[in-house]
Amino acid sequence: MSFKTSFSRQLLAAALLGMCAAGALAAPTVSRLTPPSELFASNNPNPPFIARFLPGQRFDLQATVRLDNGTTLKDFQFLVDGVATQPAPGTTSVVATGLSLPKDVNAAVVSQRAFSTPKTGVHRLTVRATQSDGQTVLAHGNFEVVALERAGRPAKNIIIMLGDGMGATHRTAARIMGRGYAQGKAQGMLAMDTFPYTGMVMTSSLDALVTDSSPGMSNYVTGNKSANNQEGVWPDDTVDAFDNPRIEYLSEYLHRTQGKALGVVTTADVFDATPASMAVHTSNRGNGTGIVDQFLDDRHLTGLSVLMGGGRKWFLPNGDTLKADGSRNGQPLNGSQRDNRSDYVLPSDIVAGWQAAPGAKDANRDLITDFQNAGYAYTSDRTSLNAALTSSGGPDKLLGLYAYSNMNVAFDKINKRRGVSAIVDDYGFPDQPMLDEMTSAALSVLAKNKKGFIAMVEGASIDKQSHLMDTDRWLLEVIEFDRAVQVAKDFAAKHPDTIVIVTADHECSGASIIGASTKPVSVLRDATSNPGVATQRDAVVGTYQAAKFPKYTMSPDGYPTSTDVDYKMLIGYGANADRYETWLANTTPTQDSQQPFVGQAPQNGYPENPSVRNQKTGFLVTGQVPGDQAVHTATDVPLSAYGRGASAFAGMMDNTDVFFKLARAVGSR
Amino acid sequence: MQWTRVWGIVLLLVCGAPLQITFAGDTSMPAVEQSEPALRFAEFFKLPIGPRGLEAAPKLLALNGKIVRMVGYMARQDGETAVPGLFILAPLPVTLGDEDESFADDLPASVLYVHLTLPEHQGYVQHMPGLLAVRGRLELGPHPEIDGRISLVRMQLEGEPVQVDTQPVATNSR
Repeated sequence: MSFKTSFSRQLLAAALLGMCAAGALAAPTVSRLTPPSELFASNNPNPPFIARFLPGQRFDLQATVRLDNGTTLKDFQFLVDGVATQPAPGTTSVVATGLSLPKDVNAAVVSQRAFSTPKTGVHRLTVRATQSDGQTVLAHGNFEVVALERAGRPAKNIIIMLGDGMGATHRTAARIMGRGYAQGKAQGMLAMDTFPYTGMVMTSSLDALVTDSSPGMSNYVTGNKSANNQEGVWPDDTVDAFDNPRIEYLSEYLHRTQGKALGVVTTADVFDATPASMAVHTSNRGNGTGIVDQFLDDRHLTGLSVLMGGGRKWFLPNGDTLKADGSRNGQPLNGSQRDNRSDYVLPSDIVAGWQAAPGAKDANRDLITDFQNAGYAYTSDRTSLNAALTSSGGPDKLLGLYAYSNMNVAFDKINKRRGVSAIVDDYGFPDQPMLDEMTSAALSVLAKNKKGFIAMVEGASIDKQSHLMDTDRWLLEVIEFDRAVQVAKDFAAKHPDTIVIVTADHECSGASIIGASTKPVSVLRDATSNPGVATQRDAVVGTYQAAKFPKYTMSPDGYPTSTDVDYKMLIGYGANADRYETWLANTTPTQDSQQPFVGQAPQNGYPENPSVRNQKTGFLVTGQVPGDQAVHTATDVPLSAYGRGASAFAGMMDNTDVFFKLARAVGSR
Repeated sequence: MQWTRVWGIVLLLVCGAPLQITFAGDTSMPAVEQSEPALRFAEFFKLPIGPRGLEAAPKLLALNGKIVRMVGYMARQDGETAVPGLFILAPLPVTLGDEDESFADDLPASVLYVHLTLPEHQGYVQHMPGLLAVRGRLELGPHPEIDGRISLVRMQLEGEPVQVDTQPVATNSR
């Protein structure tokens, strides 16, 4: 069949060339067919199949049809296994304007929304399109519907612990710091180390060997490959970032079929790529206004019950609301970053097909109040979170927004609690909860849903601090994250119908444990007044036996008393930008331009980026990548699993495989 | 410079398209009335932040409608993010329109939208590195800008921005 199809295409191409040369009209062509497949892209009908689904999982069908100049699209139809699909009324569309193609291209993007089939196996997808002069084109792709075998008793709850950017090195380094080694043996294990099954995950996205966090997370919970910067969708040829062909999320599938609730917990801004990739469909991860709106608007699809993290700037009304009487509400200056260009309005076929909220360009929306009106208890700091949890029975739904943008990192939060640092005060949020506290709160709320839940808990700044090559800060992020893992494990121990996985969306920075300092910390400090390779590299970096086994002292709060210990562990980076290295903890974090009061005292004393941080006190490590920050890598990441169905998570797997393993763990009911 | 301006106006009239505006980059500070207050970005909002949004500081509110002076960095806006007749002054060097985040700008909360008032300034402003001093009338309150952003604090520029420090500073990207 492959040869026949290929031969036919060659004949067609030859014919087209001949017609063009003669000045005759060419036939229409199909330049994109979605779901993506190797059958369409390279005429290869064999596995691995790019697009795979659960029985009944919904997804959009779409094709870009290139038309001859002077013609329009007359009609189109999608066929599966040669049988015409039967779209519900209002669930198809033809888009011929607002395309991202060159202006001289005459094309139409044709869509059929929310298709599904219960029939397992490999299916042949065909699009048939006819242009106004009667010429027709056929194009073929394929997809697979994967059988959902039952394996033992089904799990009721899913907890995904997602250490953003957390590779094997990050885990090992946290174990060395948090537990210690002696004579080659770890003196204890991280909570994530105690999970009985571990595998490795391949993290690439649809269009890149090295993924960003959008498909890095989305692929786990759609079972399909999204492209970089895109979440819950496939690429298309339109400009609109909210009309892309959708794939049903695991949260949507399980809410629709089993009534499960969704919880999203992060230390990042809640609009950030990883949290959004649990529930929001967009091709542009930067569309903050529309992303946070869709969290609330489509809660009837996702079952969203808990949303916690930073990002208050997207929830504040922006724009003076014109009231019915013609007056305005006099909105105060609140720092809102909402605007209509990053907001969303869905086309009618998506609304009809997915029963999604249509959305609105409403920068002046007071989203916190809208959440409250929808029954969510709003908490703005640790104190109000604790108060909400101890109120009669606790809340059934919870919104927590603990920072204007990303939350402060564990290094600075814990030092505030210890009374040794006021960094979090500089950001304006002195009372932020730790991730383990947020996790405990989220699980207590989600557990109220008798039909179970899916929760995602993200240690976001493992990645963000790895980008900045701020070793001590990402190390404490991993330790904080592992404390949250312990909370999840304890929950699963009490609720044995729970599956917990802990993994990463990708590795960040190419971090490596290169050894340890051969000098006490006083020598490292002295070297900052005489910086250079001789004093800070050659005289300090111990490899192999010279590194011995670094020892840290842990405080009762669960974090190291200090990361600047004698003979401390040293980390190198394989995906690094330029940086100046002293091996000492940075007193202040690197400036984050999205934080309020950034660039102003005292934050203007923070380093601007790693390429100037410690410029006068450290030695230059020349980067292998351009820019100011280290980058993600394509390195496989570890995944560990605990609880019901955990045994499926051993061995090597693609990130999309995780979706099917989780679905098998909860089974179909 | 004067000839550049003249040609700029001529081309604007002929082509009807916005032009690239290049300010002189004069490093001499303009004469300043002693009565004109200086406003710092740190004086925009109160600390700590309450349970909802930021709250404007009394000094910012008191200067609404008055001529003020400010110093900051011109946000770098390339390609589609640039807007004619407008630039953004920030408390640190920032670049807008990163490929991966696009509309989620690296803009901090405290920024000043500087509106150019003279007819010959209605083109795209060429980026000026280093610290800039600006002077103009302050306006507060939400206002939709033509690029889709909504500004909260604006200045109607009087005169031209003055480069206080031309030292290039690395941008703070993510």
